Amino acid sequence: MSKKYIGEFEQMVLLALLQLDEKAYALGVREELMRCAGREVSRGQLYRTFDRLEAKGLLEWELEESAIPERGGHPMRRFQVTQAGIESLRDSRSALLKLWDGLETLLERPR
Amino acid sequence: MTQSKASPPPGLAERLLRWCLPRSPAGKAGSILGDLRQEHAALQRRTSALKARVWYWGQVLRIGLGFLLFSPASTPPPSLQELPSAREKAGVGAMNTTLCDLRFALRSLARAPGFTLLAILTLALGLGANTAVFTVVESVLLRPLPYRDPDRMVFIFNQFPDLGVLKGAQTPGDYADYLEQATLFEEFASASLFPQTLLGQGNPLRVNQAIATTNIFQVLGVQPHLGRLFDSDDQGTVNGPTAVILSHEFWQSHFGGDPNLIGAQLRFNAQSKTVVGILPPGFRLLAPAGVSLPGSIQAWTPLPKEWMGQDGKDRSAHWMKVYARLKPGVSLLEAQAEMDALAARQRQALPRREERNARISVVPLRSAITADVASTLLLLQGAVAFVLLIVCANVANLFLVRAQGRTREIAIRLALGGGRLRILRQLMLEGLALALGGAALGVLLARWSIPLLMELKPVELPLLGDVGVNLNVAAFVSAAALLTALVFALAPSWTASRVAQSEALSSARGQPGGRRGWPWRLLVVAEVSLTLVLLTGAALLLSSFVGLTRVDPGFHHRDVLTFSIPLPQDYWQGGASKKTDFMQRLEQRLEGLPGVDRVSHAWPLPLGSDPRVAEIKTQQEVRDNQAGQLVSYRLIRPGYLSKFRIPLLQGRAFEDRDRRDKIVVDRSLAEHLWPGQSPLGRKIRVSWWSGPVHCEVIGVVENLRSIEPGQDDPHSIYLRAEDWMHTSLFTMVQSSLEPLSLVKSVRTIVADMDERAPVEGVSTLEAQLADRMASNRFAAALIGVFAGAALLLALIGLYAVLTNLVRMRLSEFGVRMAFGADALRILALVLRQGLTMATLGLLIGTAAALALTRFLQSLLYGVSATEPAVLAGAALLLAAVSTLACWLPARRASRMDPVETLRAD
Repeated sequence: MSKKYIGEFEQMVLLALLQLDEKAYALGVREELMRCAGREVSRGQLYRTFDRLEAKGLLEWELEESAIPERGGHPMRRFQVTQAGIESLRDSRSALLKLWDGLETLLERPR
Repeated sequence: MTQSKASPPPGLAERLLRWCLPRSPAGKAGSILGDLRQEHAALQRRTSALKARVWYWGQVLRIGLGFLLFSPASTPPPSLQELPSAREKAGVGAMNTTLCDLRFALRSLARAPGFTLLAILTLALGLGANTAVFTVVESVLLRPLPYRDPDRMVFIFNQFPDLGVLKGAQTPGDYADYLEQATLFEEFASASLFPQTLLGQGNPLRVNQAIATTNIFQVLGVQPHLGRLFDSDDQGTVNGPTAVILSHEFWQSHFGGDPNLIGAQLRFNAQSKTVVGILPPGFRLLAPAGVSLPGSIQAWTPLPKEWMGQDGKDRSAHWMKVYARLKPGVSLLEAQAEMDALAARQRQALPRREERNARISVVPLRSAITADVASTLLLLQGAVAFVLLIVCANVANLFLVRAQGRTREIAIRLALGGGRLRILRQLMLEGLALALGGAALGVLLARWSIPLLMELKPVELPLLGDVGVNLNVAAFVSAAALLTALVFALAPSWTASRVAQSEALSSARGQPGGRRGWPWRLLVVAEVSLTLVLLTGAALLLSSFVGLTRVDPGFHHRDVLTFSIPLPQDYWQGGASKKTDFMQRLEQRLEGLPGVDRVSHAWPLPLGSDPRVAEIKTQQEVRDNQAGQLVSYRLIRPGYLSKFRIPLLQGRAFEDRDRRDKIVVDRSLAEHLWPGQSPLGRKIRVSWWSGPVHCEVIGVVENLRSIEPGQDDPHSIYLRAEDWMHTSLFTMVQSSLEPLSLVKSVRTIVADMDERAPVEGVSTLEAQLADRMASNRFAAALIGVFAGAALLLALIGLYAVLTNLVRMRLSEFGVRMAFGADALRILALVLRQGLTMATLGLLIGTAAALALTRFLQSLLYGVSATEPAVLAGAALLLAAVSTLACWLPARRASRMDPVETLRAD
């Protein structure tokens, strides 16, 4: 049976969630992604990626009451990468590392 | 500090977003809304409330659309399963099913991006053009005037139809009569342009100054920006000190907005005036076109009592422009009736009023201001509406093609129990979504194109200050989009939903040869006829414009520089010699410039739109004490007629030895006064401010041509400027060089002759002629663009329909070919089908064009609105384009391989 690899953006989202650990809320994820990847992340795309990852069983979330007054009483979602998600990242990583192997000189040489 | 407590995001936007977000699992939508609220508040703190709102709306659109179009459906497509239950619980369920349908519609549009994009782009073009034109219409014709009780404000015209004067001003006597006798008017006010030269502030500066009654600002409802307005104690005088009020713009540009200017003395010509107030920014006096009262008045001063005449009822000159306000509840008709009665009394008391058709006309201020442009604007609106209809036909066509491709889907839904109404609604919603998308893009297009439109300087649009998209425009666009959706989606949706189930299920491809092809044909016919109407209108306007540019105005107007030099006060005191001397020396010195051929002086310029009027009487009329004749008069210097090639028909032109008792008349006046007899040597009495003058006719010249559509040339008399001069003349310099290149030398010479004399109003006759034709050019150009777009759309539409019809009849053609029909026969078959439709469209279009183009007549010059050649030309062009559109699909059909086509089925 063939393994299913996840997309680049999906990987980045999952990694950002792991980095944030206890504070893995949507807004934080977006900031983390922009900080590390240095690019604008569309909110719509991010939310839909959460949905997609959830549908694949790679993350789950729970609702949390929020005390921030500006949210107008709306709850927050705290995300957590599932075991399957971690497996999936691990697979991606090892595949990528194998592909990288021996290419360091080529790819680090300035063109 | 600014607000410490942030305001929540716009409620409507939030509700819209909530609706777009998936409803399950619980809390997910809420958390997203909360995230956005948090970011909204942060942004609000960092920037402004407005920026945050705009940002929020942008996010709603992006996130909402994203979820609607791309997220995996959390509810399955509604059509099949939900239907029975939705029928059962009509109430709350109905709303939900509509929402479901809308989502489904959006998704199905997203699945056919090519179709969606094409439809939205086409619609955006149509709706965008409509929005752009409507925005101008709205700001000019619909927005209330910026004055107090604008609906009750009127403008008063003295009309002398026999003279071609329909926008005449009033005499002080008229004004006094109104104040005394008119009972249905609440108040009258007058303002008239009298430019003066501002001295003692560096270079002499010509200022657009208005002489006004002291109540003018109360009548208009204006509050001062600084200082005060006039009060009834402010007395205008001719030479003594008086008050002046400056416009905000002039105060800013010339005095740097110095608040200490209030109370300061300014010197206008020889007169000292105290600045008492500054008007609010943006205030403009709106006046009808052709009334020589520009909106950009820079200084206002009270009307001198002396100007009203000794008894306050001077009747020798028409110069007062009169605004009035009707009493509440008084209708325009009542006010007009009262003025008619007043005019009749005037006619009895004063011989001049016996001029048969003279009347006083009361016109609502708005229509007085916009009358000249209203017909052009409405015409353009009509033309873009036609373009929109053609766009509708094209999109309807796209819809039909698409609906045909979905026959099977629809049939299955019907077979499984889907209600016809539900499917119809579904398709309508798709249409609506497309129309709204088109409208949104169209508004953007309009916003980009409006500045472009303004760049064309369409016409003197008096209210054009702030053209912009506002609520009225938004309402118009929404209504237009809804109507559009109804027009282009209803018919296709209806036909699609009426597909007979068994038929559709039994064959993948419909059998369109017979009855079912009719919506297509109808569309083509409609499209061709609409295009013909538009094309005819454009052709008429274009040929009228071309005709207009070829009109010989009756004088030499190429390469002529014009300007005027308002002479300082001392030139006007004493006799004429000082002024004459100045003009003579100026002519000599200018003619000495290299490249200058001839120089002369005249007033007004030959194109002047505001003819000055004087009363003349023949000897017979003087003897019998009969009413005289109002004519427009022109002041000229000797040599003017020959220098500017105004043909002398009889007698001679002015010479230097002539005095005040000689006069030149134009051909039409000579024919009118002395039909069949020689006018030379005849005596005429000219009523003048200083008393009647008896003159002898020494020459007859050809009439100048009027370039206003639908106006006759008025009778004119020519007077020797030296003797009659009451205002500074225009200098006209004809040269073999580019006229404007002379301006610098002209200024040097004038400054050398008298440093107090400004050179103003520099222009060329050709530029003025072009200005007068600007609205014609604008209308012709814009309608030409619309007609071109329509032609292209019609070409595409016809081509698409025929291609589709051919595709539907492929198997039939295959059978025909298999039975021996050759390619030529198939070609003829398709061509005949296409051309029948086109011909029908041309016939209907011709009838419609004949019925509609007569509304154009008032805008046409030298062309009849039903000119057969123009109509035939438009029809031929369209016929040629239609043939091309039919030819391509026909040729393709004839080249089919019959075996291929049969196998395809």
